[in-house]
Amino acid sequence: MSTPRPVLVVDDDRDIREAIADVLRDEGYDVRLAANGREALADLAHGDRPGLILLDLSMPVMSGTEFRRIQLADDALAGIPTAVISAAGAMHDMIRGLGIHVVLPKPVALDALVALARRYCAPHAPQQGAAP
Amino acid sequence: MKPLRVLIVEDSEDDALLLERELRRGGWTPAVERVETEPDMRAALARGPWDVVISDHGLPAFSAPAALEVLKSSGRLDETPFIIVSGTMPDESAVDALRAGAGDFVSKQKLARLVPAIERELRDVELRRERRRALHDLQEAVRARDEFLSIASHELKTPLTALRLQVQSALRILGRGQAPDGDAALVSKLAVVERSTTRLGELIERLLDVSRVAAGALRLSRERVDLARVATDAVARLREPIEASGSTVSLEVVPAVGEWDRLRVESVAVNLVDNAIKYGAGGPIDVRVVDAGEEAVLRVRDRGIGIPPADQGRVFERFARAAPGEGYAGLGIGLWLARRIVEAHGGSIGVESALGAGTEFTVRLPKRGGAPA
Repeated sequence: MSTPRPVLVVDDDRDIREAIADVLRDEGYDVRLAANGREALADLAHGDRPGLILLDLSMPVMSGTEFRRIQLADDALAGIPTAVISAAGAMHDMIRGLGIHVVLPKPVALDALVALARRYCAPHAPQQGAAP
Repeated sequence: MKPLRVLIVEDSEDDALLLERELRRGGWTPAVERVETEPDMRAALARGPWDVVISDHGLPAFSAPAALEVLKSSGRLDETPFIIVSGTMPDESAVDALRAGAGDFVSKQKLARLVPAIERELRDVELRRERRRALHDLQEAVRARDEFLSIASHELKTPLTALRLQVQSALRILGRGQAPDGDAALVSKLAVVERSTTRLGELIERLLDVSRVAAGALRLSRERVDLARVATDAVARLREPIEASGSTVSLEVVPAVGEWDRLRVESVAVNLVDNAIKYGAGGPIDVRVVDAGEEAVLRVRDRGIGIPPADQGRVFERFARAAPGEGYAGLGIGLWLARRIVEAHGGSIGVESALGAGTEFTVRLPKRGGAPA
């Protein structure tokens, strides 16, 4: 029996946050949003532990890299599966250096997004009607 | 009278004077130093720079090939032609010297050849210099273009991402035949798609402007514009991001009318307010427009994290990054382009910031036809 867990989406672009939230909610997942690393940390401090974190790297206030370092240093957070949503091309060495093995290059493919969520977040029953 | 700094390697004072006279006949005002030994030559080179080195072939304590090596090892051969003037140099030595980098060999019996030889060598030096400069400029232009293309592709991927997801999601919903409230869901998705395509269009215009500016081809189309209206519209346009960030915008404007390129001045205002939202950490944002007589002034202030003093000078650079080694955070083109647009109007844009206390941008626009700064 798997407990449904939310997806935490961290990206400074509002349209991207909302598009990802929209499509994942349509597929039956709970989604929480943060506009930068600092908001993501605040969310993690207060909410249920998410099953998956989708992390953009280049964000103002606190970048994805900085967030990741803080996440890794915190036992409560370090184990949360984290994938990078990336627009930059050749940053794989750097991303691997952060201990991250999955990159979703922008523009993100819906199938890849859903597959990740299915793997880590076990959905509610698919919703009838409009997304929340 | 053309000045010429000449280093002469020659043990005979008389022969050196002959050379000097020949140079004057050629129209130069030579500043001459004569050396006879290697240490003296090194010292003279260190005191440099020299326009040309003229060397006798054989001296008691020195020689032309040795002097050529000294010039080479000083790294100056490229900029300083080496000419051998000698009465008694065997042909093979002359050929060897030319192969080793000497510019020419002139016989003491035919000194009239000296001046044309030097002129030719100096022209070659200048040509090499120009070619190096052109190559450097070309490499710089290619590098800037490549950087621009990489930034542009990065920027374009952002609206494309939202677009693609919504379209794929709409297709999924339609594919599953899932649509009781279907229309409402699809309509809201298409609304996002529409917004994304508008953003894409604007982004492409901005990128085109960046390349126009780089090519010196930015042409303003001026009309009567009220800066107060521009500021108000910018804030209205960004209403949703403002609300989402938790910031409140305090808008204090008075009419300030000038002859400006409306669309471009609007893009400047939107860029500044957008930055204030991004970096304002949810704090209050002030947008002010004042009429300062000959010019109109727009001020946008946030209470965010501020810009470290070390970075303040770089904020308007073309591809400034949010932090070293970080991916590009989408700031670069905006402020660079804003500055170019403002300066094309004859105005100025400046920034004041303190860590933890926020950042204020000030734009000054001359009201009438200011020439580009």
